[in-house]
Amino acid sequence: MSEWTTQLSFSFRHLLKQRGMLAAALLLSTLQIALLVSANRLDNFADTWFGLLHVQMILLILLTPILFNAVWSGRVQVFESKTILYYLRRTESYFLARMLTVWLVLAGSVIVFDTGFWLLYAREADSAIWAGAVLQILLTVGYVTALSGFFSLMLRRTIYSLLPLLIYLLASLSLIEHPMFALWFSPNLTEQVTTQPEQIAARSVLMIWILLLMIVNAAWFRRRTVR
Amino acid sequence: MKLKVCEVSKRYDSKVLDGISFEVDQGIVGLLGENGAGKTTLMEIIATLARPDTGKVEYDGKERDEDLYAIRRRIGYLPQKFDFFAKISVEEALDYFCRLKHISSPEERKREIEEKLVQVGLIEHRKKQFGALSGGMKQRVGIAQAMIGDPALLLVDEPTVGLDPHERAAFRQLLSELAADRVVLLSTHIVEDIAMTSERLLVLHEGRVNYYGDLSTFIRSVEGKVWMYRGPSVPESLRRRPSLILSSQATAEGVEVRYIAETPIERSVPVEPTLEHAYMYANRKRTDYE
Repeated sequence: MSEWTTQLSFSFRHLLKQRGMLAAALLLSTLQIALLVSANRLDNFADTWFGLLHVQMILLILLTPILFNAVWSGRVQVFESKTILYYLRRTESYFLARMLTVWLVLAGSVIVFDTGFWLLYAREADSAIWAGAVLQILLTVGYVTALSGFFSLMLRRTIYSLLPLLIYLLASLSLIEHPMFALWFSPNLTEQVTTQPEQIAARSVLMIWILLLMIVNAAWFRRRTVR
Repeated sequence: MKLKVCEVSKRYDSKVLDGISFEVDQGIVGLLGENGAGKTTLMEIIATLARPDTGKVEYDGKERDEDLYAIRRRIGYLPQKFDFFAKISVEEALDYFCRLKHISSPEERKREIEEKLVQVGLIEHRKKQFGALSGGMKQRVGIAQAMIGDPALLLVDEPTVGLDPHERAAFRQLLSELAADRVVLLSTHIVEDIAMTSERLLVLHEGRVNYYGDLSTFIRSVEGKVWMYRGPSVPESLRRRPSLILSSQATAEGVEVRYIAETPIERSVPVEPTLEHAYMYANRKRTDYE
């Protein structure tokens, strides 16, 4: 069994043990679905869908570092260094596995809930809207997770990464408003970024930032832990 | 495993270890020294977690850089104050350590975990979360993780700190059992831990080896030098050199003082020396006694 699979499986197990935090995160990001359904605001499904995505993304951006903090405090503890990293040829697998797990669990579960909502209520709506939303969730949560990892290494406390992310989010909503660089957008732009091909292509550049951040994070963690 | 430490020196801000050498191939070696004597640094160097500035450590004739991860897989290490993720169960934690040590078959992992849990007396607590365990139980999980893969060299650093007397006694018993077919290096500043477990002793003082050899020879080195004085008060000659005093307690007649000296003062009787007496003598002789 490779180091990567060992680290990924343990990270999943560790994250799934944070049941209260996971439940709170999922409840917050899916509560609106229940509210929308109970308020019977489904006449214009596409508008409702974009509104839902907009609020979900803002909540997810703030929840990601909190959840990441549950599996990575920002500092290598003595027991981690002397009894876990001790056996790893590639110590960065320990850190990257935690980031990947948070990304996949958080984005994956929201996608599952949203897809359920889509299947139940979308009726005639264009399925490209669903696909666009799934892509936005994956890219945005991945970007926020990679940024949380970066800030956690920089600030040596994962929870502190909430502050720069909040500032970045506010700047994104009011100033940046560009799919390549913004954490998220104002409601008007949400629909364009989810449906227009050129905006989707620009937003996909986020994948490059995610990869670059992961590489930087991995090198930084390795430098801090290899003895 | 034959462990050979040759002229190991290490400096951080000041010199921590200075020319440490010793060899061992089986049984428990007690590593004794005051706080700051260099015990943890020496353990980290032997565990391959730190590099010596000069000197080398050989594991069955191999040095760390020849095959670092193969050597590490033959070492079990229990660091000071072992800890783990609070919400992970004992069984899950050990399963993770099995995977880290490349035990890939599920059957083999299951067998290994059961064997180690029985060995450390935690089989009943296998489902408990790590955060819900007592200090002694956590240390037992620590020793179980170190034992996974049956390492030929077991390094335990201050394992009994914070344990209650029952837990300490049980832990010493466990270490004695584990030493039957491997080298165990037990670092501590608690003399009693060594007296109850070790056949050999390495005494560190200010980064240097003050003694390496068997316990009985070490204790015999202070025969005829430990005395007990009974009188109305502590004599002036002892008061001037308080580091010669091993213990002092008030009695109905005045005081009872145990001390080290080549020649006794009046009203003193010889006392059977213990490991603690020998240790205090060894680590103080350079300053006061001579």
